[in-house]
Amino acid sequence: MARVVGAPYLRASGQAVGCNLVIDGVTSDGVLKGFSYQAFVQVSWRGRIDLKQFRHETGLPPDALCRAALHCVSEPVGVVLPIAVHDFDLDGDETSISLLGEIGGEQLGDSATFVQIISLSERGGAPAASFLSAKLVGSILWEDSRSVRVRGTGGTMAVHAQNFAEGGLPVSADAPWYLECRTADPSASAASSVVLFVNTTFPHVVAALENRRMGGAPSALSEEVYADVEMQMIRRAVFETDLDSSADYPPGSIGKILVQHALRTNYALDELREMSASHPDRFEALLLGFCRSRLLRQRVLS
Amino acid sequence: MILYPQVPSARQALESEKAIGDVSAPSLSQSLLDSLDFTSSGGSRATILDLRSVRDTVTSVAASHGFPGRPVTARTVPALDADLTRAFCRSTELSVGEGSLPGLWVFMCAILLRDVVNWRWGGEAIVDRFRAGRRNTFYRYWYRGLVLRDDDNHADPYWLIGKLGEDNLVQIAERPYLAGNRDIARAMAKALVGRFDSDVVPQQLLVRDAMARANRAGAILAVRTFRGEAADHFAKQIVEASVSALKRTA
Repeated sequence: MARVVGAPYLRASGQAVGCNLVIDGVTSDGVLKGFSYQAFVQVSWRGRIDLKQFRHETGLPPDALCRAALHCVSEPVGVVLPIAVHDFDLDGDETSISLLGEIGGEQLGDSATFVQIISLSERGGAPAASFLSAKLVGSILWEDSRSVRVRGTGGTMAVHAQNFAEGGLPVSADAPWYLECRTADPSASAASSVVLFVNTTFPHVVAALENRRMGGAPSALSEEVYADVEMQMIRRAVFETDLDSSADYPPGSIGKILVQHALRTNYALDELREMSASHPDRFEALLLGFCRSRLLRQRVLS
Repeated sequence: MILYPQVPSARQALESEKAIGDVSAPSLSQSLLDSLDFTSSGGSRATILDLRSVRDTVTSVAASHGFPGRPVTARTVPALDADLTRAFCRSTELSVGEGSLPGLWVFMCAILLRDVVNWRWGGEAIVDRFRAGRRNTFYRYWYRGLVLRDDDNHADPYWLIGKLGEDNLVQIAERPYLAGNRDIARAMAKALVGRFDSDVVPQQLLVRDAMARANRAGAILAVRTFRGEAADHFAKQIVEASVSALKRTA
């Protein structure tokens, strides 16, 4: 996949912009409680911008006009739902942002990513302090986002129990589980791209995963399944050569999730690919060591 | 809002496989509906009459293109797809929330309209045309209708679909970063269609070049925040830049 390289220009840091986003009804683990089509999700971005710092970091003149925008990306469809905008200039020491809005529940899918962006609305007449200052109208000067899960309170991976003997899955009827991981569109939501199918002819495996889903203590069996899932995800990231660790996949997308899994091994994706080609045995040992020993450590520590 | 049935997760793979090559009309019964899931609240559940209405609307449009007897040809596909998009979007009026449900799309393609899907793909429908995902036949129609619906054109809000054709639609609608902003998707489509009549450059080349430019611009510009006039202005700039570049290389 071709990597899109943006023109280098200065962007503001988190020190200059207050990014306090409040989404009503979201728990600490990022789940939207009480979701229904009839409910409205209230969102607010209230904060202060240190204009002095902002000008210093972006190199823009005081009369540059900027726009703060708050929008929501409804996944897996990927539709952008605008919430609110606020225009301001960079004159003075400080300015406040107060963006409020709501999204109708019927517009939301599996997950929602709320995106805060400050962009250049218009450059002022005064010369910029740096030749690396943004010049094009619409240039992103600062950006942050937060994803919440909308439907259900389980993990982002769907788990379905079915009898493999009924067919429909490209796997032996005797397999206890099968991970379906669709990567044709790396920008697609991970929630709709990854499904763990569990064979109902192994009721103890189904029960172990159901128990874990309901918040029960992890068992050796459920950990075995999840260790295997993690190994498969890393393998997909490594062998799916279209995946690019430097590509800007959307938050919550399958591309992003796979790359994150691979990077947790502390090796770059290219290093893992090279290792899998030149020393497959070392690569397999690395996977085994990383996925199994990490789970065992977690088990001992907990 | 009407809530449509969803095939339960555990049955989706099986139903999708079963639908391949099945050109029989579905038997819509209460027992079938009882075996399916629905969103728990937020609207009224589709009745058999509602489902028949959707099916009748879609099949009558398909019939005007030869369904079920006359095979679909490459020449008739663009008009057929545009008409099916119109018919499906108008008859279902699905919200984004309902459109996010995988089971709903398996129901639409593997049960309610399986004969139309099989006919549309000329007996070569692969399982992806029935199962949930971006390649699901009616999901594609719905998504294209969603992002390219032009409410300024009261007579035919879906006119852009018919003008663009399959390859160009793929270029626009299957770039989720850009298409997600419906104002940008519409503005790009309108700006491109506005240039189709001129004999400057081949349509497909123009669309490919312009969408690649727009995608690159998205790396540095807040394209997803552009609305209304800003979106139109952005689209015009991109398309004119493409035309100029292609003219130079022609």
